[in-house]
Amino acid sequence: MRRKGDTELVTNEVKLLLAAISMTTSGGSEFHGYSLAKELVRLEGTQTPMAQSTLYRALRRLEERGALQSRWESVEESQADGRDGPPRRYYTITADGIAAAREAVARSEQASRASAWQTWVPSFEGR
Amino acid sequence: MTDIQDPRAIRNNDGGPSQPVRRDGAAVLSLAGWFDRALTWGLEPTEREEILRERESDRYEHVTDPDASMVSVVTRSVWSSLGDVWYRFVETEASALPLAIMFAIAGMGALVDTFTSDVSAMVGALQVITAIGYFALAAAGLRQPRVLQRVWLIPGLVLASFGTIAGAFVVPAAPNSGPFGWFFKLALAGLGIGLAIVAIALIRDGGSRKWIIRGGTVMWGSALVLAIGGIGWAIVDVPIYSTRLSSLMVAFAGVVGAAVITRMRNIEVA
Repeated sequence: MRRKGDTELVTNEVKLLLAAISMTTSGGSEFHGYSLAKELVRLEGTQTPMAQSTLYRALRRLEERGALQSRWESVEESQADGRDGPPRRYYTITADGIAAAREAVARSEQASRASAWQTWVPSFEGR
Repeated sequence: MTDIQDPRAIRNNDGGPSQPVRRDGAAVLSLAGWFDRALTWGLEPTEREEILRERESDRYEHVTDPDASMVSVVTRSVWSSLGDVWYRFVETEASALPLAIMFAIAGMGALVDTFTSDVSAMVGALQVITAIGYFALAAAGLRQPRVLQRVWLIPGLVLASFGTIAGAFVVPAAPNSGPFGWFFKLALAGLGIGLAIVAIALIRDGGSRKWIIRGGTVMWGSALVLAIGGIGWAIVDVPIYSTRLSSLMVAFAGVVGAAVITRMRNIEVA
């Protein structure tokens, strides 16, 4: 409904890219979905991480537009890391992703008034 | 606390001390997994398998995260399931269409009630004004995805808020609704006030973010009051089946309204 011919990022996509940039600049080259949601909680000071239904749809869209790349962790990697949990899907932000985030932030600053409805009902932000 | 020998123990995200999966966490993982399976039913098999795999991994990380409470795990799982239901119908979180449809239905309801119920001329006039306002709000959302058109939005907000607030005072409480009839009046007043707050915020300074958020929050709370009133009415008015059905429809409308409002965060005003 929205994505056809639409190149603009929606709010959640921008937030995820900013969280990805934050994690990359603090030393992590790869991150999994939950760690990204947790970083977002830290940046926004919210209580609950973004719901999986929203998070992974947004990550898929970002990957489709080339802003992120992903790979599944192998069993060997998981074992070498000493974890017993299911394999993780790791993401990295691309140069296109960084550029898209910068562009979205600049546009948001210019049109902050017009986009005020983006943050309706703040207690549900990020879910 | 730390038990590397425990087969359920894993390292946390930062490579810190291992945390066992608590029994209640395992139950949440299992239950949420079933919800995921149900809500992704019918998707293309490869895509579905990938979604389930990633969700399972995510929930495991969340449940074993020493910083996360079980309340946050459960809350997130519930919101995720509600989100899945939403996306099955709407495809994306950023569409103005559900809001437009909601107001179109509300407008139809007000109009139909005007001509089918035995209401006074004053109430009838208010319902027609409200219906026109709701139709304008619907038009604001139908013109373009993701964007509410200001040219339709502001007149719609003004008419709808006036009609709804006045209606809360003038429309009599539903018969046999007991104290829950007042819930409807309260919900109508709240909805009208919320619409008015948003209208004033848009008219006065082009869209004060703080006040639009407050207006949206008031509307959201009013929709929940409507839902509670509808459920209460259905309970106190048990002998009359058709009334109970109406009251449950009102409750359903309240729940749907609250859900629609919470998902509107990505909509813009043009």
